[in-house]
Amino acid sequence: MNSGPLAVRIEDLRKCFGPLEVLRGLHLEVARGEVLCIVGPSGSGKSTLLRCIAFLEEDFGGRIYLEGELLGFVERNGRLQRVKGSALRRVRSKVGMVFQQFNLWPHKTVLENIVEAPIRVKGLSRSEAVLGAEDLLKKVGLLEKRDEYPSRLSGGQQQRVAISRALAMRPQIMLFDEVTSALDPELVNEVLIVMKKLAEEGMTMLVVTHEMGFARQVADRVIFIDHGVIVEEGAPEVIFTHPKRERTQHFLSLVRHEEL
Amino acid sequence: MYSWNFQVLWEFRIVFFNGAIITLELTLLSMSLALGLGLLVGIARLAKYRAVSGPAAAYVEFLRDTPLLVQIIWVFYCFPILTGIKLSAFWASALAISVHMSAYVAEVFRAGIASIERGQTESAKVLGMSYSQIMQRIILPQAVRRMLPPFVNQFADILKLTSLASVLAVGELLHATNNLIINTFRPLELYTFLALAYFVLIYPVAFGARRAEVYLARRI
Ligand SMILES: Nc1ncnc2c1ncn2[C@@H]1O[C@H](COP(=O)(O)OP(=O)(O)O)[C@@H](O)[C@H]1O
Ligand SMILES: [Mg+2]
Repeated sequence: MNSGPLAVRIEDLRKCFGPLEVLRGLHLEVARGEVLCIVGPSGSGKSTLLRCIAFLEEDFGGRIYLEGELLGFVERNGRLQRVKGSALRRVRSKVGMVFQQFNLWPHKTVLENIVEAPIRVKGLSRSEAVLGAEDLLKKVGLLEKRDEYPSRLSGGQQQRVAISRALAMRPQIMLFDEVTSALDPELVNEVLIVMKKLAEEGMTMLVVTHEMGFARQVADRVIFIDHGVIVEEGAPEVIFTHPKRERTQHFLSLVRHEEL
Repeated sequence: MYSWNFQVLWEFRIVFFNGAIITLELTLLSMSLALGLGLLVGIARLAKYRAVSGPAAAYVEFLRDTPLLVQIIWVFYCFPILTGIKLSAFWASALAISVHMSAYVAEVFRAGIASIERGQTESAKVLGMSYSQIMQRIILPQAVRRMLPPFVNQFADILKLTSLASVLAVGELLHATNNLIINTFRPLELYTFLALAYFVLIYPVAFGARRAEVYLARRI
C-alpha cells in the first residue's frame, strides 16, 4: 500500500435521527488502495456511515478526513466552521458512490448519464467526456448500450452503468452500498466482477455487502458494525472463520443460513 | 315564440374575433407569468429553511382562499394607490390572474418535484452537481413530464377565468358580447354563441390534455 495520507480517516463519528442514535462514536482508518468490506445487521448504521462519507448526511458529529482533507468543515482557531458550495464539492469529489437502487437518471441515455457531471462539474468538452465514457463502458462491457435509456437495461447492466458514471469523475475513493442487493441472483456476478477488477487496479473501496464470497476474495479487511459501532474487525478469513465476538458469530450464522 | 335572428352573429363576427384574440392574449400572458412565478414559489415551498418555505406556504394559502374577482378589482383600484404604479385594465387583469394562478401552479410544481425519488438528487449531489444544476438537469425535466396534464388543465382554467376581466371593461369575449347586446338587444343569440365560442377555444386543449395523460401513462 502506498504512502501519504490515509484515504479515509474517521474520528468519533456520531449521527442521530431525532432521538435515534445511529452512529455512536465510530473510528475508522482506511489506507489508500485498501478494500474494506462493511458487514452488519440491517439497521446497524452501515448506509448512514457511507452517506456521511459522501456528505449526503450533513449534520454529524466528529470528523471525516478524505485524503487528509477535512470534509464539510474548515478548522479555524480550533473551531469547526461549515463550508459550502465549491469548497465543499472539491473535497466531496474525492468520493464516488454507488447505490442499491442504481439511481440512474431515466430521462437520459446511458452515455448522457455518464458525461453529465464531467461536462457540467469538471468542465470537460463534450468530445473529451464522450471518449472517457466510451472507455469506461468498454471496460464494463456495455459499449453497445451507450444510446439506450436505463429502463431498457437489466438491473445488472444498470448497476454497471452507475459504477461507470461514478468513475467518470475520477474519484479516489469508491463507496458501494449493497449494490447487488436489488439484483436477481443471476445478475449479481457481473457486477461483482467489475468491482473486483476495480479493486485489482488499486482503487480504495468501502463496500457494504452481504456477499460473503466477495468479501473473502477481495477484501483486505472486514469490519462488523452493530448498533453504530465497530464490534470487530480483521482480515476476512479471521472474521469469517474465527469471529471473537458473540454478536459477530450470531450475525454470520444468520447470513450463512440465508445463503443455504 | 321567440324568433331567433342569427344574422346578428355574422354581422358582428369581427367583434367576436377581436374579443377572442384579447381572451387568448390574456390567457397566454397569464399562463406564462403564472408558470414563472409558480416555479419560484413551488421551489420555495420545498426549501429546508422555514424562513423561505413559510412565507411561500402563506402566499399559496392566501391566494387560494380569496376570490379572483376580488383580487382583480383590488389590483386595479388599490394597487395603484399603494404603489403609485398605474396599470391598464388589461395589465391589472393579467397581473391578478397570474398571481392567483401561480398559487395553483406552485402546488403542481411542489408535488411534481417532490414526486421525484430522493436517490435521483443524491446521485447527482455525490457527483458534485450544484443545487441549480440538479434542479435544471435532473429534477425538472423528469417532473415536468408528470406535471404536463395538470398544467394543461390550468391553462383551460385560466382561459375561463379571463371572463372575469370584463368587470374592468377589458374587451375580451364576455365584455365584447355585453357591449354588442346593449346595441343589438339580442342576448339569447349572443350569449348562446359566447358559450359555444369558449367551448371551441377550450375543447381542443382539454382533449389534448386527456391524450397527453394517456400517452404519458403508457410511457412512464
Ligand atoms: N433519514 C432517516 N430518518 C430517520 N431514521 C433513519 C434515516 N435513515 C436511517 N434511519 C435509521 O437509522 C438506522 C440505521 O439505518 P441504516 O444506516 O440505513 O442501516 P443499514 O444500512 O445498516 O441497514 C435505522 O434504524 C434506520 O431506520
Ligand atoms: Mg443500508
